[in-house]
Amino acid sequence: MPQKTMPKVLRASAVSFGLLAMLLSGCGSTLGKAKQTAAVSQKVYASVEAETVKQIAAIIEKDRSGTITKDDKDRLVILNDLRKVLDKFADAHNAYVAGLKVWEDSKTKPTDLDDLSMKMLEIVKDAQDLAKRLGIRVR
Amino acid sequence: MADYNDVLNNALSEIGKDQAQKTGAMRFLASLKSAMNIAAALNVPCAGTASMLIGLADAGMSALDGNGQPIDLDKLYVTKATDDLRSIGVSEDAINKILSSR
Repeated sequence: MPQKTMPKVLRASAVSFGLLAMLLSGCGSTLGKAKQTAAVSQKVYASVEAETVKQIAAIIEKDRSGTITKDDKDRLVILNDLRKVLDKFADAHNAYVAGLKVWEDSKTKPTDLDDLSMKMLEIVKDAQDLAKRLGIRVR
Repeated sequence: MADYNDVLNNALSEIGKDQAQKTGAMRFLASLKSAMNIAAALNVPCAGTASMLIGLADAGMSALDGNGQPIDLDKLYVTKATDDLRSIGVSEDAINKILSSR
């Protein structure tokens, strides 16, 4: 698919997930840094998720009104893949935030927090792979 | 339009030199926003993309900066895309029905 016609949400997600990957790779050193990473994660997720939901809903509406096109269906394939990645990311993000709560309350870093951030990093890579499959060049 | 892969690579190099991760990320977002503003001002074909990226850069900077306010973890939880779709009447079945008709 040509880059020009790429749904803007996907190109945006490629870049912003790249930023998240940078943050996640070194986020667990202090509680403050980990909380900032979670805050950025939430902002990026919310922006990309809202656009994804909006675009999927618009295509579903076109299907209901009988005006859906082949391009819409092709776009829905991409958006549906992104939806699944976002769902996995939401689970990992929420678990990470819950882990930070434990850290904040107990003053002790949970042992599985680094594993969680690595899991988030893996999911970010899934998102990057998705973008790459669509012809988006990301690092 | 400035190639944002170049911007990303430059920012990653910058962060590689800088131990303060927050500072590096802030620089990354600032350079990204700057590049995208230029693209939007030139009215290039990807200006729609640029505006979304500017929004994300602003969101990211805001989250990193925090305006000195403590971060409330209870406000950082998110909802799944699937759940948000369901809340507006879009089920996975509806999506799969369209996908299977391709």
